[in-house]
Amino acid sequence: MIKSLSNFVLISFLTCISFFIHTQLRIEVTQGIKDPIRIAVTPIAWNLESPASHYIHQIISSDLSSFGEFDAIGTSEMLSLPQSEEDIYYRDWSILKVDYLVVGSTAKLDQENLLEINYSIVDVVRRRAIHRARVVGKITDLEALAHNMSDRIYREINGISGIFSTRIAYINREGDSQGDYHLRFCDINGDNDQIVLTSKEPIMSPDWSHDGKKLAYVSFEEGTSRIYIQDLKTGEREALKLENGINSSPAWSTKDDSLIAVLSKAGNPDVYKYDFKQKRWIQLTSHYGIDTEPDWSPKGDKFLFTSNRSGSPQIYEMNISKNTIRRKTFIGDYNARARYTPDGKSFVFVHRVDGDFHIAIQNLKTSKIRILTDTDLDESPTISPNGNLVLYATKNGTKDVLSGITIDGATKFSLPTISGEVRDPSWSPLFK
Amino acid sequence: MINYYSGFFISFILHLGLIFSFSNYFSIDFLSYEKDITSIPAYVIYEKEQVKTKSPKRVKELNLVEANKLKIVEDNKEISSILERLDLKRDLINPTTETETKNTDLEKVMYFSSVIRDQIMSNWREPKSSKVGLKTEFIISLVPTGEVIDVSLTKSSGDKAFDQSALLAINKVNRFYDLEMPRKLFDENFRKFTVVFSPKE
Repeated sequence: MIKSLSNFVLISFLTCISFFIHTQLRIEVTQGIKDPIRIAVTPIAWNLESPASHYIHQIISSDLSSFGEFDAIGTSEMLSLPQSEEDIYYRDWSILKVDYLVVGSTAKLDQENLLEINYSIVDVVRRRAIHRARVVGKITDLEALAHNMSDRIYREINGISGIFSTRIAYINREGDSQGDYHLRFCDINGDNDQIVLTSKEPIMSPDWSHDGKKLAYVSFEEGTSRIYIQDLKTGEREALKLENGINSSPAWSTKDDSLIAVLSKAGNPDVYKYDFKQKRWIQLTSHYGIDTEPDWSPKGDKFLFTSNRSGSPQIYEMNISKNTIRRKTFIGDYNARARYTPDGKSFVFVHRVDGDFHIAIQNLKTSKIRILTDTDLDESPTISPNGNLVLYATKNGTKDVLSGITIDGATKFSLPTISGEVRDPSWSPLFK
Repeated sequence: MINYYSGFFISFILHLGLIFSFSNYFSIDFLSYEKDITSIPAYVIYEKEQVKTKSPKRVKELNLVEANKLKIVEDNKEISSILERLDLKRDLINPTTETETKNTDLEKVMYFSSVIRDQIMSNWREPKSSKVGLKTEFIISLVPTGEVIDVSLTKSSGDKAFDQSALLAINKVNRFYDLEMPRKLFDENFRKFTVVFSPKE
């Protein structure tokens, strides 16, 4: 009985299998090419009486092509200049081998000083819009509106946030050795440069708050190092509690207002957390070696720091709630100034190989190191909030300059030169 | 009291097997299955019988063999004409060619698959969001000239930009070149097939 039953089972089982045997052919594509994406941004129709202060399409085109990911063609190459989807003659664009086309127009709103831009991103190959959107803003903020559009277009096509509306804070010293120190910030293309603070004494280590409204930094204006927080809109300054010895390397959490810094009140530099309510410092690390340059993890439960507790500077990670410290770098005798990538899976840091200082990236899980830069005196790396770009200070001859590289190492870029020495760059978060 | 345990056990195994085969757990490879088993057409046996019935005569054996060869050729011609009338392929007549084509079919499918893959790859610009673990699937319909007549998304990766980049890549190819192959091979494998985009480390 059982035997005939199991025979039946076997037969029916085989029938089932044979039913599934006739599968369709599957072709797997595991890799694409790295060529830039061809895009055309046509002049946005300007339907206002007052003349435009900027050419929106030019700002967007130059934004998108900044880091080698897009190849934005110029208006002189275009065969037609459509201003709406209906006007598009697709053959004009397939001849130019353009993948995406951006068309749009402006309109004045009833409210004083406001305008809207309606635009579409069109897939030229499939001949259909993949995204239609509207941005509203002040006529005087046309540049910011254009950067905002670049961010959205970048996101639609590349899948990660655009960073064209973000800013970079940095320290700049005019002249050679006598000049004033400035804390400044500018757009990522170097435009709209603003001075936050000017001082005869050194300013160091600017860091953005999670909402991008405040900067924390170290200033020596009182003769000794002290940590300050400054509101960028009001200019209001708050000096954090001064302790004996070094007060340095403030680091904001990317989630909330938590702030950690390095103090040497106990005799040697350790990492402390600031208690804003009671205005006091809470000790986190305690070791007779030097602990410095902390950076919060994106989740806010850990931080990376540099310590010489093993004899040479190496990167360590502390889990705050578990109160555990793990060494992260084992290759090389100089690893310092670590910064988490926004996904929290890797960190970039200064890595010395054969006496040269490079920026490198290490995966936290696999501990795999990849050296990004080929210059030799690189320092202070800072990562864009979309995790795609690394900006760092380096030397061009004897001059301090800011340089950048994409995280895959494919494209290098540099910030337009600002007079004097430039150092300590800090990338802002995405502004909401 | 009836013991249901064996029945339950068998039913359990059966259902488990069903579920596994639905999810393609056994990864049954249709092509390799076909490679192992090569069926011999019925007319081959018919031909052999013909030879046997005529060969026993020992006198003028050589001549007879020659004659038989001619006869086979003639027979083949006859069969081919019949088969042609029946709208079948002429190259099926020769049994050796038949086996060879069966054996090289898999190689051919692999070759043309790589031709297709290369053409999609050279048109695919991976977006920045592309990472290991993302997977998007399309079913592509072709006509024998290589022209894409339909693309449909069957499994989204969940990442809009990633899906869009893959869709653009296929549409950019528009027409696959270098796909000259026997009609039967095309109909069986390339009229409709799945393309999977999944980045690897």
